[in-house]
Amino acid sequence: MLRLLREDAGLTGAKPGCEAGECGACTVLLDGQPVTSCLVLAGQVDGSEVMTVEGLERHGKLKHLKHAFADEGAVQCGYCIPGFVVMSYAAIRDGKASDIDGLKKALEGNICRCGGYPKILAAVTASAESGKGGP
Amino acid sequence: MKYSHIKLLSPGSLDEALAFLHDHGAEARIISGGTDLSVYLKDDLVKESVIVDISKVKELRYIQEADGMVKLGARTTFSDCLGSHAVWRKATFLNEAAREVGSTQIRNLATVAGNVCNASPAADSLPPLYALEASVTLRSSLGEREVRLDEFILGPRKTRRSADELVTEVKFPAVDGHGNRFRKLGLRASQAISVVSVAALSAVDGWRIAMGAVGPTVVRAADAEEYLDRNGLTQASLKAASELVARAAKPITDVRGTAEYRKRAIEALAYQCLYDILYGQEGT
Amino acid sequence: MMRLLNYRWIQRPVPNPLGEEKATGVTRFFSDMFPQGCLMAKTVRSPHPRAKVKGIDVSQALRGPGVQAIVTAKDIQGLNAYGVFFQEAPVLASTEVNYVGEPLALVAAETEEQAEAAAEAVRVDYEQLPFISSMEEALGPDAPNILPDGNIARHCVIEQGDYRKALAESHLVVKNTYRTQKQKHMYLEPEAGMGYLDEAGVLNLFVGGQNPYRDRLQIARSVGLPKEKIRVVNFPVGGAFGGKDEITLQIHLALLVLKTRRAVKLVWSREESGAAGYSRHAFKMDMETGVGRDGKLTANRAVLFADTGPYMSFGPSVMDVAMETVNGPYIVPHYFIEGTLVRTNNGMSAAFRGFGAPQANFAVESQMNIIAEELGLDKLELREKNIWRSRARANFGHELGNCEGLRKCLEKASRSALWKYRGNIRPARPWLKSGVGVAVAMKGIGFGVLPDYPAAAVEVHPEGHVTALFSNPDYGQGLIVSNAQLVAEKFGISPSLVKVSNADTNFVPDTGGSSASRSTYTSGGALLDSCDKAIAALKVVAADALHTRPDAVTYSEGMLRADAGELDIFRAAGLLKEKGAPTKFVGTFAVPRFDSPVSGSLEIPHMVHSFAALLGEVEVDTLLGTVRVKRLLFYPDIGRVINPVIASAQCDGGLMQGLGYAIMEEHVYDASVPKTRNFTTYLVPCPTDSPVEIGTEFVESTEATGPFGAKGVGEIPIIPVASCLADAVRDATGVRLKQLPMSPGRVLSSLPDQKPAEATA
Repeated sequence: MLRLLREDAGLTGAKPGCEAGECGACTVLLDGQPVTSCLVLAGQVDGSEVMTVEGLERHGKLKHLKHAFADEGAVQCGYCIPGFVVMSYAAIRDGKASDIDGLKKALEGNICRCGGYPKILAAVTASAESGKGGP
Repeated sequence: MKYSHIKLLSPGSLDEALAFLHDHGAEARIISGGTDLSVYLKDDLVKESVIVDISKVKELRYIQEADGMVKLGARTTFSDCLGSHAVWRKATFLNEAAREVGSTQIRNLATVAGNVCNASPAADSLPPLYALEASVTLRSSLGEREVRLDEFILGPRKTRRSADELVTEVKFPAVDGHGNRFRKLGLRASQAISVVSVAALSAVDGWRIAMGAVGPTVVRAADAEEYLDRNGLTQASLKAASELVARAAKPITDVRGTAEYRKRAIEALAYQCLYDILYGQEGT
Repeated sequence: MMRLLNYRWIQRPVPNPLGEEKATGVTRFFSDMFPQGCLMAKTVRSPHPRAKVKGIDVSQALRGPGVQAIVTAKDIQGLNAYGVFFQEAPVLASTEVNYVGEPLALVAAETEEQAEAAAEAVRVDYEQLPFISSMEEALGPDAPNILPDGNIARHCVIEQGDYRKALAESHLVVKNTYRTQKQKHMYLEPEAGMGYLDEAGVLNLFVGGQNPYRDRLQIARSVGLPKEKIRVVNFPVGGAFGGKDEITLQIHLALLVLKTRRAVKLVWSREESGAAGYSRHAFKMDMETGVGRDGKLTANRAVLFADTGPYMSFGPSVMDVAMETVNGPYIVPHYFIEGTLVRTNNGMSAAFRGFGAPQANFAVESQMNIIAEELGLDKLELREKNIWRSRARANFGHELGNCEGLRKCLEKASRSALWKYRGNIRPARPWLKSGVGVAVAMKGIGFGVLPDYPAAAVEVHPEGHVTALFSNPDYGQGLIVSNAQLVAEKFGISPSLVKVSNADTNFVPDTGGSSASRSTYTSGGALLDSCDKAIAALKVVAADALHTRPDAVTYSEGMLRADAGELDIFRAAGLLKEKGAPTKFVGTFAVPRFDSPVSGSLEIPHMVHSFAALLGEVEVDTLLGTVRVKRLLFYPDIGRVINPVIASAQCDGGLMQGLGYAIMEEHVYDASVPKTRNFTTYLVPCPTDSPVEIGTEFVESTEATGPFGAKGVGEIPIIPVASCLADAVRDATGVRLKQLPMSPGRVLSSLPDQKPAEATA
């Protein structure tokens, strides 16, 4: 599915980092649930809804998150960040961003080798705060 | 694609899935969540020509509590497990193990039945399922049978499933026990394959302790169970019991740890599980 | 507070303009490019650690479907070797291979699958040779020579005074051996690039790298094209950390494009990156450190060995930095430092954040902590007695610059509540033990005595903005925003009016690369010089327009003023343009350096250093040996802080990589075969490994030679982490580890075989 998204659909927000489900850079929402798209066969998603980071942005779902990531200094090389953003969107939506340990647990499948976790956690927390009372 | 020669069959119902397996079983692999098989595909380890994808067999996605059993349909993901009141109530340690499986993304894909069928000795869900004396239900177009989990799993990636069969359910008795605990040692805080793991359950009819990643299959610590049944769990019996658990382990040396270290770690994990059960500590 | 008012645009958290586009997936990395008609390439690699190559048969592979070209050593017109200092590593091996993953041939085909199939069909006839899997073996009497010059790639000795006598007369001598492991960069984007020939016959290469001009030089040298016929673009890059500082696939891509005359894309798989990508050098360090009754260091004897793999690459720099670091930022009157760079068949080691400093720091800071324990001194107090003082004579005979910041780092750490109240932390289970550790670090900025003359430019556009042009790639450090702030500050205009052109040899001057904590210091210095030149030229044209002399024109806040009137810089730039005069101004910066290296080294010493003190708190499970890092409190002196958010993000990142290095990361070679080639087997810290508290508090400091007083921040945070955490583990358990990583197995086996029941006591 990752290759289908990137090479056929031109949606390169999902990135290959490990192609073994270990790094989270290819995270997309499959029927609303975050999954690592490198582990899903293209043929398995026939009839499913796939939402990539581009889709979330187009639907106006990243208003707070993208600003928070930029403002908090959470974006370094940026290769892992779209995966973090998709995962963070789901974590906020599912109420898992209210305490820091829960948020770390929710994001545990995303690797940032630039080591930006403190700022990423701060960005998601800030975004969850500012997003209260509406998207 | 590298594996374009492989044909993907996507049954929409259980009957259709069983029919596909009846026709192609011998040359087929089954994919469900795909978290193991996709990696095998990438690494060119799949020699079969057909993949039967059961991810669209919606009727297999359920968690039921009935007849004194908790039943997990084959499409039950670890996320489903974590959201289930029945599992939390009846087998907290299975959920402790489920929390340790991969990551949020992996738990949304991976199924308990898939973890069972992949039969890795390091699989997180297996020690609690062994301690729960779980069984699996196998269906084929010719019929259905039930096999105890410890008999079903033969070794790494080897099970008693016949080519035309599908595991449709994993179930275990809804025990009302006196506490249970799962602990695993990974080399980082999340997303780490178990170096070793221990599941301990104080069931009404006795102690059950199972260990992961100490041999080709999950191993029960029979001597330790018997010792605890005889002496009860007390501050005084803690140490001897955990030593007995470690004695039942026959670990190997690999990139994640030496046999000697694994042995010490098993004893430590057993001690910590039993300590937490003894002092009623919540999962951490 | 006054300080903040002095500057408008620096010392402020101006958000990175790239942040949002990276967050929303808009930014296209080179591995995200899928141009129409682009060929896909694969590399044929050695499966053996050492073998004679008796033949390469490409005939069958050439007949494969979609195959357009196969490149071997025979296709190389220029030098079939690369290397920043010494060109030892073959671009494509042809007679022998010396590590698993060494490239022998390149395949270009219409699709990735076709390229993969053809790469598998290339037949290489090997005769396996005995290989060398450790430094001990390499230096043994019967070891085969990996290269004709032997297995010692470099050997150097730096000596001062009479260390033997000084050690003999010392009140206390602490003698230990320290070992550090190979660390992998594990950037999320593996080595990747895309290239094509344009209509003018220029070879355009978009590759993940750290130094576009040096890449171009190495490419030109091997493919036999003049440099002007090659364009290298190094931005954006999905992580580098030193691992892309040396050539990776740049020359390969160039060869493929030249042979096929089509667009070609080459991306290494994670496993290829794991085998053929570079690592941090593993070190063995024998240390003997003497101290007087007064707590002043008397002598240090350090004998260092590093595993550089078969070919040296950055090995000489790594060893030099280690040798310069191994006395710490302390006055050591007598010393003997010996460095040996050893060849093995364990893959190539090269640059990694900090070069050899994290390794040497582990040795020297552990020694300092042991000395403090033995003398019963406070560990920070011991440092305070020994640290460099400004303008004192330093270890290498040269006069030190401003070291005030170092003392401030120590002060801040000693005032921290974590340091004051250490020992009062109560873990939640009887088998958990808490401990607090400390370490100090130093890192020279730039290349020491090696000449470094960066050039950068600014262009003032009549349309109303300024472009800053420099070649140091921004691969995540935030250089694009911090340099925009520097230029904005200098011009007195908003950073939103400063655009950046980065790391493209077609458009920007040669500012050098991003490495050695030099980017802000060098590109900032050259940019400020170009701003001065721009303002001078704009004053001339403004004087003309305002009918006055240039020296009667003043400049502030983007406005050129004289008695007769005023005009803004953009209007003035328009006037320049009308006259046909350039509106782009190239500035330079001469990195201050000593004339010649300390005898025995290539680049020692540096003149300008960043410093830091680090406190760390751990919780050790004494039954399992696991170490959880609970707190990292970092007090660095990086000179003036241009952008506090971005600088502290750099610190978070270095600290997290240091945390991984200290407790979990190890690139394992078994019989010279890499065993940890992917994210499943090579573990890096994930979000749940992130400490409860990770904080950076910069000390106030300015460096007279730096842009607005800035130094560098890239490497200093990773350097003290392992030594600090080893000290924390010691504080928690009573046992000090002298080998990294402090993995559970290693920690547990160093603890007394404590039975669980005793742990509850």
